[in-house]
Amino acid sequence: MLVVDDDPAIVMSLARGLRVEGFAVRSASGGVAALREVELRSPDVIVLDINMPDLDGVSVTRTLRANGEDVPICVLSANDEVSHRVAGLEAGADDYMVKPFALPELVARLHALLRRAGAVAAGDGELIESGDLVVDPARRIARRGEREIELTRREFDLLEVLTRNDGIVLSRSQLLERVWGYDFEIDSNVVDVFVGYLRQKLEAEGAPRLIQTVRGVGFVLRS
Amino acid sequence: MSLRSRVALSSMISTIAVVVLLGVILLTLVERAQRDDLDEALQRQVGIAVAPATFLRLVKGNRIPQEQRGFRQDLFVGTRVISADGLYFESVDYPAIPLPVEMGFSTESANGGQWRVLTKELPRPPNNGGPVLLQATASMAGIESRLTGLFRLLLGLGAFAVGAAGLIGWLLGTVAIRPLAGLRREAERVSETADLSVRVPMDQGPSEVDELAQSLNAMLERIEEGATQTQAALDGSRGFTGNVAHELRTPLTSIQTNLEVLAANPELPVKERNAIVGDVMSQQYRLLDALEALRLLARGELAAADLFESTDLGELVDGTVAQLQTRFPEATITLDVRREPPAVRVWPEGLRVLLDNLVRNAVTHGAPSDGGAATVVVSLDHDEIEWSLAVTDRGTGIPPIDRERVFGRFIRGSGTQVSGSGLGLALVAQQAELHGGRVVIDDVSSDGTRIMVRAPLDGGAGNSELTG
Repeated sequence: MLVVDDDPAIVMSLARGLRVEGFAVRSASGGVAALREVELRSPDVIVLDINMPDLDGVSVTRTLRANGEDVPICVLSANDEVSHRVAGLEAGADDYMVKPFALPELVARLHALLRRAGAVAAGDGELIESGDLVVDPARRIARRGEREIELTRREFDLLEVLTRNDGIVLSRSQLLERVWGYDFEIDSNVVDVFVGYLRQKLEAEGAPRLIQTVRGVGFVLRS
Repeated sequence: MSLRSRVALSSMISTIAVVVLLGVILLTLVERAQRDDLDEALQRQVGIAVAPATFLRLVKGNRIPQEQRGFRQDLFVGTRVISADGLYFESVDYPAIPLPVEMGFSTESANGGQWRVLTKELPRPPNNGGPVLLQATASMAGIESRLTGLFRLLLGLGAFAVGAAGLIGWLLGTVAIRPLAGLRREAERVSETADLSVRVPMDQGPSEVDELAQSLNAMLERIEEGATQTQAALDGSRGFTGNVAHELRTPLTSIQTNLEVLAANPELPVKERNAIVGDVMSQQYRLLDALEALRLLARGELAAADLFESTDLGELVDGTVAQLQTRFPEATITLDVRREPPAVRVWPEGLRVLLDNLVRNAVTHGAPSDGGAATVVVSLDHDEIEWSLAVTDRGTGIPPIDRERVFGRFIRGSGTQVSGSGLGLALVAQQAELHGGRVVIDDVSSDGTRIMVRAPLDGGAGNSELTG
């Protein structure tokens, strides 16, 4: 795996901690170095700091995704941004943790992301439809009516799970398990953040709301 | 350029414009009238020449009558006859107007002057010859000299008018700026004495100057207000910084001591070592909590209006409660939406911080005294004008004596057993105020606490006063 942060103290302690947990850790001290490392040898998972002086985490994520690199990325978010609009997730990162974070939680999430990445296979090719929404798991494309919706990988996975369970309310922990592979409780609003992104994209041009919130329970796709 | 010169100059410029316009109109009209007179005279002259008797005389005697009734000697020059074969007869001193001639009226140059010319065909030519033309010519020298005289007169009058306008403008300008000069003296007094409480008089001049005085006073008021606020903020932040230093130094000292113990005693028994590490970690968390709270307080103080956005409160509270439940799995946190409020303009992050701190307090201080797990109810409601968010626990409650105090910074309730940053409720109070609302603590029963935040539905905030 690859740890990217411009602060040597964080890189050192994080790399040490992750090594103790059994990860093979490489590190990069900036965005440019990170891209070079990935080019050299693609890691299985990346822990990426957002605030870096040369090339920030958002740009690194965007570049990697544009190059077709779909390695799981967990961004380390600086604390001072609005938490329902996490920088990096929109660019295609899979999860985020706010500094300072607990190492065991990062380790658990990384293990899950790794397992998940290994398990991801092409869908069964059957189109899933709900109202005017069409999800094509084979080509990983979603359309609403005539409009094709551009989604990052995690957004697509979330939409696919919700669409497959059309009309069934899924709790946040169910979604975390099915979309991220987190079979443990985590203290994070990552589901809400991604639901927010999906709503934004699905409801463009004034289309009616597809993903509904069920108070105290979770989310449901209902057309 | 001074205001006086501007007034003088602009009245001069407008006078010039009026004089030029009137002059052009006058000269044009006079010139046209003169030319019409001349044309009429030429018509008459030709008419006389056309009369058969005159014409016969004309041809015979090769002479043209010079003095006819109604003619003006100074204008008239003469007549000329042009026959078909090009022969012609003409008056003495007839100007050398070139042939061929244009029929009707025209203006020609000859002999170093301008001439008005009328050429007509003889209706019945004698001896059945070819067409015979009659031409009469008059000098325009008279018109020109009259126009030049008029032009000079206008020029003189215009120059006088412009000079007079400038002078009057200057004098009027002097009178008009007198109140301004007074205002300037008053303003100078403010800058000399650096006394921001001085106000300039607002009822001593024309309305424009009074308005200026009002603006000046409003500006002085704002500056005075700003200076006072800055001073208050400075005073506040001095005390606050002292508190911060103290609050951070305490856990840091404890961590340092613990680390030194660990470093000096590598052979420490596992049990003792674990206790020290546990202590270090809890002090570390306390440090982080305090830093985070300080960051949020600072951000709340700078909360700009652009952080506020139209938000579905039910959605926001639901998501936050779900996250808090996973953070405090041993507690039971339930959401009770009585009436779903409409979309409200709020700072979503700020409200999340508010709810986070209220629930965290409820979970840590609100466990029942018999030691069981905390039961926390988050309720969301609204009426016509306000939305309300309440967090209720079943803990020991907050003694009435502490209810004002706990919202201060670095204040912990009396008799509190659990260590916290002492900033949580300060954050809650700050957020409530930012949203134009208030915080109320009350008892639900003999034990337990309900802390309720009420804020107006119309937002009422985004630009509200800062917390001190």
